[in-house]
Amino acid sequence: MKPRDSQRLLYVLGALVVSASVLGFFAGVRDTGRARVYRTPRVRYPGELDTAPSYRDEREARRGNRARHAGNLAAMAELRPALFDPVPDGDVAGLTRALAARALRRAYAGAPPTIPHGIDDIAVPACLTCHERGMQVGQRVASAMPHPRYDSCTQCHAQALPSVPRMDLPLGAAASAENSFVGLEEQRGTRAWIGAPPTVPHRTAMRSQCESCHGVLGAGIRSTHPWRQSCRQCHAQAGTLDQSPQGGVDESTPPWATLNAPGMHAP
Amino acid sequence: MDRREALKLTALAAATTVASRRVLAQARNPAQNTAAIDPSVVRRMGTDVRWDKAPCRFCGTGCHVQVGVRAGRVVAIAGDQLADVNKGLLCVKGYHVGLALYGSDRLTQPMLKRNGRHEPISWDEAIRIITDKIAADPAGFAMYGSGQWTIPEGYVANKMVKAGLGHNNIDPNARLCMASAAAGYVSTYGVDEPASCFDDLDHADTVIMWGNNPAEMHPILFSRIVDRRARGQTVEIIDIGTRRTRTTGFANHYLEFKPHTDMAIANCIAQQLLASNTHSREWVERFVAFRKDAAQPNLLGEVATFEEYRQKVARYTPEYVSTLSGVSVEQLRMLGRLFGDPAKRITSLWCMGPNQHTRGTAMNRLLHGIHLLSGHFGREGDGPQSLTGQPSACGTAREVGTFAHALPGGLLVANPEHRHETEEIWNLQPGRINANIGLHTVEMWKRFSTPSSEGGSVHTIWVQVTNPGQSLPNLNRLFKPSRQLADKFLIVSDVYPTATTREADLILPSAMWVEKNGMVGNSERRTQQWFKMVDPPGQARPDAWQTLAVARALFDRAIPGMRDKDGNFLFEFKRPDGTTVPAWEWAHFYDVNVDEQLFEEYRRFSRFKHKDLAPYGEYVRARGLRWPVVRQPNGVWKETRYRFIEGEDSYVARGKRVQFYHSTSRDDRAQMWLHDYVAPPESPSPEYPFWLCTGRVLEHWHTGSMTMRVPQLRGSVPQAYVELNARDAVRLGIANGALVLLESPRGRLVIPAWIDGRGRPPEGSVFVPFFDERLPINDLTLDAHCPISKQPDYKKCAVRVSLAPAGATVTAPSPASPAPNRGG
Repeated sequence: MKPRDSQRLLYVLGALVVSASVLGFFAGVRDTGRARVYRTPRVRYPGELDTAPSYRDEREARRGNRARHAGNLAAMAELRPALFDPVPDGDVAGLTRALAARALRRAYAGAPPTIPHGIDDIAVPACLTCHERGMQVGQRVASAMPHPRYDSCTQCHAQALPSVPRMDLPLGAAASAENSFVGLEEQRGTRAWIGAPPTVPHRTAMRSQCESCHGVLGAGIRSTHPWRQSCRQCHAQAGTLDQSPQGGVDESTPPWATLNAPGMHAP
Repeated sequence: MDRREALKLTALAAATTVASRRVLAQARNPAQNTAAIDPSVVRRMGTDVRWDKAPCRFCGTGCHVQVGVRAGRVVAIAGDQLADVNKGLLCVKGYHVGLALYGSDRLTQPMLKRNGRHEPISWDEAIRIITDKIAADPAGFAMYGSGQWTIPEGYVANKMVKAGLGHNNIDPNARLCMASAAAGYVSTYGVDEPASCFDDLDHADTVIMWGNNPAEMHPILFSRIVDRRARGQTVEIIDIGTRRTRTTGFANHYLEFKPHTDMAIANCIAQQLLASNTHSREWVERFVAFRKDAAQPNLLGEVATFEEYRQKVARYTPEYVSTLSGVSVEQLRMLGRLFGDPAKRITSLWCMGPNQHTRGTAMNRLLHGIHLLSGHFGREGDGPQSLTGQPSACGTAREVGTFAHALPGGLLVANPEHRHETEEIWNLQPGRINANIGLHTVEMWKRFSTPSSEGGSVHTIWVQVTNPGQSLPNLNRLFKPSRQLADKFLIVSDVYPTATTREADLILPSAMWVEKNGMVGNSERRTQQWFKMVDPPGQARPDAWQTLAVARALFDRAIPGMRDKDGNFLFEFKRPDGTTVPAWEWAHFYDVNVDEQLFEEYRRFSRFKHKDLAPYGEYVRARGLRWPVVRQPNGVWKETRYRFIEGEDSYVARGKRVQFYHSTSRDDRAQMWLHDYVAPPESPSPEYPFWLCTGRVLEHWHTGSMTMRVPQLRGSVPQAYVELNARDAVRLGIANGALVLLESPRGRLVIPAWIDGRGRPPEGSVFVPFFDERLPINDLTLDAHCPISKQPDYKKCAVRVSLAPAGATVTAPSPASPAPNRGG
């Protein structure tokens, strides 16, 4: 295809996009009945993120207006959108918000998120109580683990709120807290044609349980069809996305470099 | 089409349009295509991120990470799924290791202290100043390096000092971290480093943590153990410790012992094995010999007999050891039964607990001893294994031999044959290597902090890749006095301002991690390699270049040691066509792969002690290889998982089953040592009634110079604290977060309390992490050390604990009145 031809094609495509936008805009503003109210995330000190209640808060609030939670996790776990509930789709603003919220808790796309609530600092973490299946409490979502089960959660997930008693100490010269690192942003999937299933735009190692983020609790990035279980039946890995660290460098992988148990950690 | 579909399609179409425009733009103008890199070596995610492998910068586990680089900067990290060690997983530090490069206060130019202020100078001037100091009196110059030196960096420094300056005053901070483990291996097996490897963790029935908290310090290894439970396997964890930690939470049994009595517990296991006749007769008859300390303790000791051993341990009955250690008789019997069961696969893990110990070498020997006596050795999951805390404590400190007593490849300064072999490889005049062992860490800094007129023979120390101003014990004795002495000159190469650079006379900005090529060696004998991926900031340069430049400047001044016996410079680098590259000139440092050429020279040393290393290219392809890496008849380089075991180790003769081929008794047997429990040099007293233990936390690595600059890690643990038992706190009227005054005979510190925090010490003991330079706990610690390994004990000394008086601040901790040091 000559550049000039492709240019022309782009103009046509662009015109289509604009008209579709206008159409979509009015279609969108007509029905806002189900729109959620999000607090706009803003960049703050890592310890001051929008925080979920700590266990202690939960305990102390049991007699207050949170009494309905009553510590009955099993009952709380059922409070979630049903699988076949209609799901708002094409919510670009929601997607943007969801990605921004993700970015706030991660150093880069693919980094393990920090823990936005207090934890018991020594016991074997009871994280799985909420994070095994995922849970929604009011507006807050405790996402399910997107990876196979590991027990030592704090190995990878740092607390955004320190457990150390915080004091404003007049501590003198020391390491600067400023860091100029700029992390990789989440990539977007592509579609072969309008209406084609989008490709998976991220590594699936440690992010293999799609429903954890894209299931019924995945505000902003949820699937329109969360009842379907075999995601990669339709959603291929992005062609430009290299999944395996061995790709490219060394085709003749030496025998000692093969995994002891392939797929053990990354099905 | 409803409105959802419409919106979704709109968004998609917009994204597609933008993407296709970019592709077209690149196709039209290839010059703008910045990613024009050989596609065969580039792996991509998205269109512009280049991924490559590197071992993690932090601890001795040696995880491999995939580093994502875009536009000359690290933008993402992923676990390397091909890596045997971590199999795609990382810990909280590893996931954020890329951020360690981008703290806003990186050192970017050489600086000289003039009139109390650090002023920028040129590299040429900095090199000249160092050269002046060395040339004036080479004998008074010492180098203090690190287990974070890459292998080539350590090799250059080692050769410059030991060949070039004709003395052995070079020692790494690894002296503070695993010298006792090294001494334990050498005196037991005749050669350093573990016989087994991390594969044990996948197979052990029982893992014993000896004074070890891997849930925080070696998280990947710990998850290799506990994740087996998630897969439905059973693995028993026994935590033998002096305080409850995150590891304790996962343990089936927690045995809390009084500090230092771990020696008695080890002897108690031996006593029970012999008393119940459950020791391995085969091992005693075929594979072990017995040793005891000579009057002057050393690595070799004196020959002993099985009968002497039997008599020595006889008194360590569970009842006696229970009173000594505080561990219950039943728990001690459980350990005895465990080791007496030949079917069980038992892995012992330890790190700083037994190493930072005034009887560290003895404690290490005893741990090997109980495994040898019971025959729990040499099978997958069945054996003793020490861990290390630095990425190349094994690779550089131990294997390159940057210790004051060592030469590369496990050779020793004290051995005339070893010196001769070194002189051969380095092409030196016979007798050039000084036969006198150099100054070990504590002695080096003691002499630096002593006036020259009073025997302080060290006038200049060049520190690379470490932070002694925070990490040395008893800073008020070993570090601070030197800063008041006009003729003591401190040179520091580092990447960030630290407690050490602040006190330095000359600061050199260094390149770190993937800002340079590198090789390191982890705790399981695995040698690893990576390539430079991004440029260092400003004028920061690799430490290897810094040392080379100084060595060349000394050569130019005709310092004789900088020439080999043919008159050539000690360090020669060749292009493929055979011409010499002046790699000591910064403009030419990257003309060739300096790392590769240094490694190929160093590799020749690896044959003497059967620590065979493969050619550099093999490491480029692999995610590390465990030595000895032996070339097979089919040309494949084969690594070794289990040393001394037939079928695993190429150097074990056929039919031997187990062969300790470097046995110091020269009969292929390992040595089992006799050691009595010895009381620690300082214990709580009415005046100082608490034990003080120091250590690390998961989020911070060592002195925090890197991790305190990573927002996620700093946000998680923003400051140090003292962990205090709740009962002690109530008794002393200390609330959570209150300021506490800690005092030892050597120093004092005001620090906030954390009660029922992450670690929970028993009554009568406290714990303080050492990562926070603002709260320097090493003002209080003891510099008493093991008589053989010279490793100091950071794990126990006596302190007084009280609520800090009103108005006390945490700044400017001041030394207590000078007190005699009670240790050696």
